[in-house]
Parts: sequence; structure tokens; C-alpha cells
Amino acid sequence: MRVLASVSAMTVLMAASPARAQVAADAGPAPVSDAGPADADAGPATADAGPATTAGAEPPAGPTLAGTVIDAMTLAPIAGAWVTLPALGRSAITADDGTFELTGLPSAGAVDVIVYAGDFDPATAHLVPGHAPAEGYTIAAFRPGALKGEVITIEGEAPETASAPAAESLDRKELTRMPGTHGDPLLSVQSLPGVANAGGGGQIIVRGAAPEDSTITIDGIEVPTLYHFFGVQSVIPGQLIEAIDFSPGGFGVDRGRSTGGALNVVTRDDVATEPHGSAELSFINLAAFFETPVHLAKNLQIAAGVRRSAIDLVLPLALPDDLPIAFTTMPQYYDGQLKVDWEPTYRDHLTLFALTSYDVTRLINNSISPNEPVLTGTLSTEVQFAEAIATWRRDGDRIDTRVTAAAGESSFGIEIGNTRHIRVSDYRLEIRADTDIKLSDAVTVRAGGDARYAPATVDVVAPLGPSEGMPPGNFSTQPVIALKDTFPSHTASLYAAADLRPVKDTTLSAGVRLDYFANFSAATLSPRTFIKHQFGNGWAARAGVGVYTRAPGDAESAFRYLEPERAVQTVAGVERHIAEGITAQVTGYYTDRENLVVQDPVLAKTDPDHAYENGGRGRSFGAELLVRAKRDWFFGWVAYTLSRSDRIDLPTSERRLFDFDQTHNLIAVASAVWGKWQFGGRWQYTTGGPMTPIIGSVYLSDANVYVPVYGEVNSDRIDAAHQLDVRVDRKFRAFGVDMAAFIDITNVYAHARVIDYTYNFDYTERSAVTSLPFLPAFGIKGKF
Amino acid sequence: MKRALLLAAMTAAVGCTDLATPAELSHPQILGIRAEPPLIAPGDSATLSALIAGPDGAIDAVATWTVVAAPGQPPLGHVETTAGAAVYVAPETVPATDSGIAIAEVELSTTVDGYDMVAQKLIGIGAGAHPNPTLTEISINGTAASGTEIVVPIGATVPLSATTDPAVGESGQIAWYATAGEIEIYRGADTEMVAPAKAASAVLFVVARDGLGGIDWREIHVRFQ
Repeated sequence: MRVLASVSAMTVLMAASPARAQVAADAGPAPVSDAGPADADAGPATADAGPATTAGAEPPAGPTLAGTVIDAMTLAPIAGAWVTLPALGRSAITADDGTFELTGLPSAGAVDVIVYAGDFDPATAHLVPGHAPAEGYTIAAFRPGALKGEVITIEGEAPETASAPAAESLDRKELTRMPGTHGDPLLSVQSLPGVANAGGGGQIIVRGAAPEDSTITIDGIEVPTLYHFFGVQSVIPGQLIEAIDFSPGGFGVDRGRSTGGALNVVTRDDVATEPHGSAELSFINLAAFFETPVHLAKNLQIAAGVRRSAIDLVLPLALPDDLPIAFTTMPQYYDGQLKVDWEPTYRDHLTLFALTSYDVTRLINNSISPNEPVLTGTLSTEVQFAEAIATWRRDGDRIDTRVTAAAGESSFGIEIGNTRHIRVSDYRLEIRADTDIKLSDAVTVRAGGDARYAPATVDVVAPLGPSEGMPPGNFSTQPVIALKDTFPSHTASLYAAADLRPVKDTTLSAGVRLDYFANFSAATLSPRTFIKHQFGNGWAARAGVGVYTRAPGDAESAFRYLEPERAVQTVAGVERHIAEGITAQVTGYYTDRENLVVQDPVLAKTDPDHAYENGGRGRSFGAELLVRAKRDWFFGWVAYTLSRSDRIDLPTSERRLFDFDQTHNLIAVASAVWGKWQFGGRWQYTTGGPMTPIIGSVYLSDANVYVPVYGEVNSDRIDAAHQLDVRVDRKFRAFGVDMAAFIDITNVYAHARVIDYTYNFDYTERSAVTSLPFLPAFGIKGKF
Repeated sequence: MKRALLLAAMTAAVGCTDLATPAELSHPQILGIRAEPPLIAPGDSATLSALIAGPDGAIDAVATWTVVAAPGQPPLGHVETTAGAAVYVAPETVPATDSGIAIAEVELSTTVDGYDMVAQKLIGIGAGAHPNPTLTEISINGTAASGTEIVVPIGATVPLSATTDPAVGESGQIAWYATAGEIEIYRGADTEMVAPAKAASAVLFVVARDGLGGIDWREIHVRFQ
């Protein structure tokens, strides 16, 4: 369960106790809470200007609505706030202690309440007269610019358990102003401990796991990709993101089909009280976003966004004239989003989120690579997907239920010359249900499951390609596989768990998950358990162990005799609240992997239909340190990860480094506000990735090509990478519109990060392939 | 895999520009191996020869010839070397194959000026005959190369063309190498050469392959003036 979700709602309603108010504000949506606008102006009325109050009048017959209005941040009562019931034409002004009372209301169920309180944002609520707790409702109002709708959560271990370790929360302003991310919250994930820096590509590499070991979901639904080409931008704008649930490992049984980490993007579900819009122009993309209430009393809102890359417009100015490639279609992407939120009752929330994304690049390679003649000519790649996700959430007193249905389709195509191609397309129908039953303060039971129907059509004429750990080989001389088939990539799962609090300050969560993978006719059982204990003086400790499985993917999907890969993850850590706004945590982890799919190089040539087997083993272990500081005017952290990840391909093989092993990963982030200015910096150092050295070559006379001779697998490393990113933001107002300008410079001192090496025709010389040494992004955003 | 493929393709396109190309002959390299004939019957033999060249032209290097064995299999035949001449001898019996032709893999190893070079040549063993192609006509700037030195104006871009008998067809290729000047497109029956800006002499090599194991080459002396 994500935390801090309720902060996205402007109003939090609960029992009158200020202590409980704080708990609710931090722990999740209160049952009767309602969402307010993200950036609404202060209320139009003051206590003095408000209509006549009913206070002092003879109480008419009918239910009473009573409660207290408080400052959400200080919990202090707000006097003189105007509490209105627009549909009934009733209102009241709060007394000095913040209390109000509206009597003689119709007994027709819930009513919409809007509170205007001086320089606070308007607060909305959906309340049931006569059904408040004994102490009455509490309505919390936020000041403009407070946390409302601005929290994105980055979680630690086992987020769904009642004993969830301390969650790391970063508000939207932090994430969207992270240097080097161009304002994209999802790119900030790569600055967290345990996440390896892959040098672009949009790959999430968590704790020594392969990218495909981790799952990426939006509102719990798997999506083909979260990033546009080379990870330059995610497919969802920050305005639609309420939270990022990121678990580097040790997550609960409600998530599965992953042996690495799990990243879930939670879309916003708050309701705006006024129309808002924004437009952005930067070197990265052009974007527009709009949200508006359709029916405020019924809590119906619609939001939409659209973006188009700007890189393809700028790139021609930067490319050298003598480049041996000619782009027929510059790298470009488009994405669009539509979100509809509706709260028909104070307990029910319905959401429809539709998303589409399209990436394309086409070029002509005029350079005849001596050893890769196949790569000459047309090269193109095209990726698109569309997904519609409908969610019904019901928040009960003791039972919370969430049902999600999704439909989507996607396609991926790459054309290489006239003779090689990979085309994959699929469509998906999925349903998922989750329910939490609170049996007592000490026991919560959770259960759920999902079913996914996803036939995938594959049309491939290409070499089989090496599996992880194998050298890339020669694309032009490898045997070509021709395959045209449809695979039943259907899955289903069931899970059940219990969260227990056997003694004060100790929480225990245990559960089991059953997964079925239709393509491989295989089922797996995954028990997991976690424990957390809160000590005095701000110390807490946590630990967990669990089994995780996933189905073979990509090219391995065609080998249906394979079995799912399996991992046992063990995590333990301590965290410490050092001082106000300063926290530290240390986590150790060990993951044992088995049943890993590996390619037998001999079978790949002699019997390609059985080229893969579940013969691999592996392990990942390491330690992560995170120290965070946060003040009103400052945020920053230092994160360091020391890790190792290795593999044994076959029982007779030697242990070797994993392709994504990264010994050191040090990140320092700092950002400070100075009036209308904000200055930020981010510096990162990472060990270079393992690589297999080329120690010679063999000339194939009949084909007139050289094939490389490789040394020990991953026995060498690419150069270490380090870079400094800086960002400056400046707010201003022009033409009656709130504007913000930013400059975000990636890799300020232009240290070219080595991604790989390219070789001359006989592999006697090599040249580094580097990422862009210096990438400035300027942008301006207007908001109304 | 998907992204890696595109990255590899773009890397191949972008990355090779700063590195030496085979046509430059910047260091010693093997340009081709010939088996005469390329297809032999079981028990028969084929004469082996290699074209090795470097910045100064053709190189007469001492080479070691072996037959590479398939995994778990004995070598298919052997190489006999006498007085610098290498002859591949096929076994009397060969494993049955779908095509009726067994393939022997002959490997050449040599070291020239510190460059260790290894090259492999496939020799077909089976019934039938398949001769090496013959380079019949080579034209430089419209002048047929007939053994005498060809003169090319300095700084000029001149057309090169070659024909074979039989024609190498789509499965084959013709490759060009030069110790001076610049070959515009390294592979192709028709290409161009950019002469250096100063007077110089060069050796031009033309290597034709039929894609079926047959090969022929020619060495032409060029003077830029």
C-alpha cells in the first residue's frame, strides 16, 4: 500500500483528535476525504463576507453536520472559515475553536461540502450528516503551495505490509526539479540507492538484477515500457503522477512475476475544483496539460495531456555534416493521456486512465561496416502501445477493495537492412482485484489476484542473439532464425497475506503467492515474510525473506519447454531519525537466483530449437546507505551502494560477473530555494560495467569478414562514469500567467561516459562509444 | 536485445568512421585464401595459397596451416606442406550431409610485423566440380589493367571496375584495397578511387569471391602523377 496518498487530497476528514488527524494525513485517504484542486487560489469569500450563518437559529428537524476546520499543517483550529453546502444552499462560519454545526439537513445521504478559509485553499468533502463520529468531522485545509497534490512516494522494502519500513517520500517539487531529469519524476528513480546507472536506455537495474527481472506497472497494470527511446523521457507527465511505489526488493505477495524490483506508478486521483492548464516548451519536448472539474458536486474530473518530442527538431542543428548515416525520420516520440476521476459516493472512487505512446526512428546507414554488411542500409525502429486502465476503489470501515480492469495493445518493430527484422505485437486483457480486511488493530488480512490474457505474435528473421553474459558476436554471420508464431503469454495469480502486530512496536507480515504462466504451462508458489521493530530514540529495524519468480522473456519466450526463473531475496536494515528532517538508513541484501535461462552456444548452432536451458545460477548481494535532509528551503541526499552480482551459467562453468554488476554507485543530490530561484545539483560516480574483452580475431576468407575472439566473459570493465548535473529554476508572472523557466544541464563538465567500444575491421583498434558529453535543456512553462 | 540491436547498428554506423578500414592496408592483413579447386572429391587434394598484404604491398609470409576439427569430431583431412607449398588432402570417407557436401575448415596462422593473423577457409568435399572464378577485366579510369603500371592523375577521382568469369552474382563480392589513395566504397564491382594529392606509387589489390568458396585476386601497380 502506498503511503502519503492522502496528502494529494486537499481535505482530510477524520475524527476530531489532532493526533489522529496527523496519522490520517500520513497514512492514507480517509474514508470521507475528498480531493481539492492542486493549485486553487484562495477562497473567494471570507468569514466577514460570507452569508448569514445558521448559528443562533432555531434548530430545524433533520440530521446535523458538525465538525472542526483545522490547518492541515499545524493542526490549529481555523476560526471564521466558511463551511458551505452548495447543493442545499446552507452554510456556516466556524467559531474561534474552529467548530461548526449545520442542523436540520435532509437525510438523503452524503452531501458535498466546500470550506473557504481566508488564505487557505478551498477544501472539499463528501460527508454524511448525522453519521459523523461522536467528536464530529475534522476538515483539514491546506495553504497554497503546501503538500496538496505534490507528494510522490518512493518506498523501501515491503511497502504493502502493515509493518512497512520507513517510506521515503519526495514531494513533486523535489522530483520535478531534480537536476539531470529535465523535470521528469520517473527519471529520479535512477538516483536512488540500489539502482544501477545503466547510462541511459530507460533500463531499471535494481540490486544486480537484469532489467527484465523487474516489473513496471501503472496503477498495478503491467505496461510494455515506461520510457521513450534511450530513457530520455518517461511516457507519463509529472502532473498525472501521484506516487511512485518503488521497491528495490523484498516486496510483498501482491506483486509478482519479478525476481528483481518493482516499480508502480500511481496516477493522481484527486479532483480539481477549478480548471487548470499548463504548457511547456523545452529542448526535450513540447507539452500541454489540462484538467478541469466536470461536475464538482459529483466529484467528476477530467484531465488530459499530450507531448511531442523536440529532440528531432533540434538534432539536425547539432549533427555533423559528414555523419555516415542519414535520418529519414529523426528520433521522435509522442504520448497522450486521458484521465477521468469520479467519486459517486464518499466510499467509492472510479478512475479511467488511458495512455498511448509512440516512438520512431528511421535512418539509412551509408557506411559499409566491413564485418557487419547486414547493418548497411535501412535501419528503423518503431515502438507503440496503448493502454486503458479502469479502477474501482471502495474504502470501507474495515474492508478496502480495489478492482482494476485493463485493455491494451502494443507493437515493436525493428528493421535492419532488407534481410533482418523483428516484429512483435500483442494485445492484453487484464483484471485484477485486491482487498484488505482489517479484523482488528492487530490483524489485517489481504488477498487478491489477477488474470491476464495476452496473446503475442512474433515475426522474426534475425540471429538468435546471445544471452546475458555472452559476447555480442557478429550480427551478420550468426545463423538467422526465421520464426512466425503466436504465443499465449497469459498469466494468472492469487495471493493472501496477513499483517500482524503481536506486540507494540513490532509488525509482522506473512503471505504466499501463486503464479501461473500459460506459455510455459508452469505454476510457482512464492511465500514471503517481513518483520519490523520500532526501537526508542528513532531507531527501527526491519528484515524480510521471500521467493520471487518470473517467466522467461523476449527471445526465450519462444522456447516453451523452459521453466520460470526463481530468486530468494533476503533483506535486512536499520533506519534512524537523526534530527528534524534528517534521516539515515542502511540496508543489506542477498539474492540467490536459480533456474536462470542460459544459452548453450553449441546447441545454438547445432540444435537452435533447444538452444536455451534453465541451467544458470546467480547471486546478488550488497549494502545501501541513504542519508536524507529536508527543510522548507532545501532537500538533498547522499546515497551509496556497494554491490556485487555474478552468475554461474552451467554447472561446469566458472563464476563470472553479471552484465549489470556495478561495484560502486555514489549519488549526491542537493537543491535549495532562494526566493523565486531554485538551484540544484546532482553528482554521480559509478563503476563501469563489466565487458568481455576482445583478444584477437579470425578472418573468414570466404565471407570476407572478421569475427572477434573473446577473452574471459566480463573479465574487463568499461571506464568508470561520473557526471555533474545542475538545474536552475526561476518563477515569474507574465501576461497574467504564472510562468516558470528552467535550465537543466546534464554532465556540466562534459565527462564523456563510455557506453561501449567499437572496433576496426580486424579488431586491432578500438574507439569508445560515449553518451552525449553535454546536454543542456532549457524550458519554460506557463500555468493558469 | 531490441534496443541493443539498434544501438549496435548505430554504433556500427557512427563508430567506424575514425578507425582504419581494410581498404587502406594500414597494417598487414590477409586478403584472401584460395583452394584450387574449392570443391574436391573425397581423397582428392586442393592447393592452398593466401594473399597477404600491408602498407608496402604483398607480403610473402611464413604461414602455418591446420585443419580445424568440429567439437567432438576428428579433423576432416589434413594439410601437407612441402617447400612452402600447402596442399589440403581430403579423407577417403566423409560424414554424410543433407547437401551431399562435407565441409572442411582450414586455418592459416602467421605473424607479420608483430601482427598475429588467423584466417579460415572452407573447402567442400563431395561430388561435382566448382572452379574458382577468374578476374577477366579490371579497368582503372577507363584503362584496362594488363600487367603494366597504370598512371592516375594526382588528386583525381577515378572509376574502378572489375568483371569475372563466371560473374560472381549477388552472392559474391569484389573487394578493393590500395596502399595509397582512397577507395570510396570498399566492396563492389564498380567503385571509385581518390588519388593522393602528391605523386606516389601504390599497389592496388582486387579480390573477387563467388560466395561459394571460389576466389580470385589480382595485383596492379599504380602511379599517381
